[in-house]
Amino acid sequence: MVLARPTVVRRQRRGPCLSAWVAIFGLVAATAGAQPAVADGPADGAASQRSTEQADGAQGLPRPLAGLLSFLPGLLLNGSGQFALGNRDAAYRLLAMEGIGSALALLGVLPIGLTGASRYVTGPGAALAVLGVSLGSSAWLGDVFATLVPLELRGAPELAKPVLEAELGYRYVLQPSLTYGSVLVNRLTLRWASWHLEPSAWLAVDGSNLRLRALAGYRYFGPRPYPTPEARDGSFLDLDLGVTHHRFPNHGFAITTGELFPHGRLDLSVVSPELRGAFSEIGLGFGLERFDYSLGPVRDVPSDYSWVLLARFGFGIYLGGDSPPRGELILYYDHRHDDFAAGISQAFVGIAGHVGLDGELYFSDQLGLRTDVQLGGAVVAGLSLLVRQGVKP
Amino acid sequence: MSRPIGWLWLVLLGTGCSDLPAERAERDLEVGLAEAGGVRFVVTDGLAAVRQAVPGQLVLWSSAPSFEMSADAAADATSSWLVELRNVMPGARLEAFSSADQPIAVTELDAPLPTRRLVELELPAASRSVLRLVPPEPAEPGRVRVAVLGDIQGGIDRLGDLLGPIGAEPGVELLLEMGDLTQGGTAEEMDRVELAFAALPLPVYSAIGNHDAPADTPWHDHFGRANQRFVYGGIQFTLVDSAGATVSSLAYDWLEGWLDEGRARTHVVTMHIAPLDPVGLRNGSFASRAEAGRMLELLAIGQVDLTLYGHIHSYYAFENAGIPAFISGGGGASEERPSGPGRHYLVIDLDSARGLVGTRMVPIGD
Repeated sequence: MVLARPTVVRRQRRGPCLSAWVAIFGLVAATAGAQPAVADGPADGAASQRSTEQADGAQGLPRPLAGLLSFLPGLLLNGSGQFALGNRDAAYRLLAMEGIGSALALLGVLPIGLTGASRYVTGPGAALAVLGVSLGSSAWLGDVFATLVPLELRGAPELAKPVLEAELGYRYVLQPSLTYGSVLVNRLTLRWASWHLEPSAWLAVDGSNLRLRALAGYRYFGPRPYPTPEARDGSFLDLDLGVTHHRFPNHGFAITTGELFPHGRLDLSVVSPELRGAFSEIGLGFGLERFDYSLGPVRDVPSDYSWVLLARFGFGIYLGGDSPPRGELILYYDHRHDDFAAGISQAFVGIAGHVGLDGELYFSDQLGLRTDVQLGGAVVAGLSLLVRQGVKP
Repeated sequence: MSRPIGWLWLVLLGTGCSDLPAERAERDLEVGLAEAGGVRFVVTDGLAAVRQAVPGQLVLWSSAPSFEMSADAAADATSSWLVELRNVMPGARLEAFSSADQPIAVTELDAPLPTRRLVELELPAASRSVLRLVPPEPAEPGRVRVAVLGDIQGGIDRLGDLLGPIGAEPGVELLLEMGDLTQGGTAEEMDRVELAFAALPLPVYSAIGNHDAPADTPWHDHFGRANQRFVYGGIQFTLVDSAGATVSSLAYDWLEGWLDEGRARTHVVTMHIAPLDPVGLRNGSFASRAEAGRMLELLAIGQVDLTLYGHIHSYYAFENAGIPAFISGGGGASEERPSGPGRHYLVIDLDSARGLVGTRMVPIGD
């Protein structure tokens, strides 16, 4: 296991930290009495160091026992593991996250239940519920992680991003009703200051379908490419505009989606230094889809239009330290219904999206591997080669 | 399937992620098969469920206005049979023919309900006989009026409020149910809802809903196939199992054939969960938008005239792939508020040459 990178104390310009981010995660920090969740500010390294020293000297239960407690009663009472270790400040903050998350989830779900899934409240209600579950699940998983893994074994975030990142990979998509099969994955990410452009293509080997996607986005704060100064932690806030075109040449239809997707990451060290090495992600947005049918001489079929709710949250950990090998691993839920994995059918009758585990590890400054497993209406699994340039000047 | 993917699939099955729509489609193949008293009965296309088969007595639940059944009798088979047909159109009759295509005498007995037939007949030994349920002709040739109801769920006890007016609607010849007859898909609930339907003077043909379809659902024993089609009055009705927010690959295979059959007819396709929810952000629809696209493309190629759905506890009129579509989920389940009409049913007029010719939504006050 690679030793964690020491706390970086660097001053950099304050970015346009918008209220959206603060509204989501600052609420957590403020309620818990934490430092403000502003990512691009001077780091309170001294406070972090003090907390670490407190943790090291805290009188608590042995880590394995505390780890057990982080599962139960930790599942119901987030922060139990940290409390058992003697890190009461972290425990209270995790409990506050759980409380806020539960309240938001209830606020989202109750109107849906009371109105019989009204057309007017279901979208906003689902978004609130996703936000709530995101906070609650991150609090629990953060507690489990921070309780089981000693500080010195945890990874560190990458504080600057490469200018160029390319992915070439293979995915197998198993879907009972649509024969996707083997799919080649290509993605290119180009970053320039706060802007990024990300074209990608998923191409079925047998030519049965082709999914082309282009994202253009702006990063309000967080790790960006050189010469932007390094971020203080792994937190970021992005706004992405995207267009996706999924064509099924063997059939006579195609789906085109335009979307707006603000999303971000909260480095959990912002909530408490004891949670260093973990992060939480969330994104909420929407898209408009157009279904085109090309039935040739059969008949002229008008297009269908449908809104789609975009929501994604996850809990992740950093792998490795300052130098390769380094990467990250994230367990996530994605509400998308228009990608390969789509929604979980049967038990969730089409309402829920899919879950996934996405990990990437760079073995050098340029080369890495990515693995991705998604479980939804389809099972998606595979491996990619990652290549990047412009990591350091 | 490659070995790693196979293992992954096994893990998923082991964690309870079994493919229930595929299992239900496989069970469709077993509907309408029975053996008793040395006679093997086979209902063609599984259009009737065998409720009881003991020597000398056969009870069937008809899931179509007409069907054909073969009866292969062994040399020492029981010859005298009492056949009870449930859920048939008033005025329907059972005809029987020997292997030489000679009519077999059928004695009709008094039945307790207009939707039941009770007949006695002698099946010749060591030969195959064919029994046919023959519906009455539509009151107006080429025109069929149907009622549509969806999502009863926990509202079984209040079902009389809806079935009374439906039964009194002039000219309605059958009731199409959009699924979710029950809350939990238990045999006891299915018995209760069948008892409630007994008050109707017309048969009920139902799609299966997600609430009706837990693992090991008794649906097939009670109401027959989850995927099927029938023709009445020159109009084809196709019922597809979308209860899992997806459709099994086997059902897609059947559907493609049924769409070919129905292309020259007025064709109504019903399923519980619609491919696309008119309120997309809610996604009370297929789990995969890509699969929704595929389904709608198939329906468009099949030149379907009307699509009917349930699942959403309200009323929506819209189009999908240019096909008129209605969602009717006003059978008593918790209603969409405040915008929905509450409990309601639809009356739909179909013409065998012109397709959909009229619709009417009838709200029922609480």
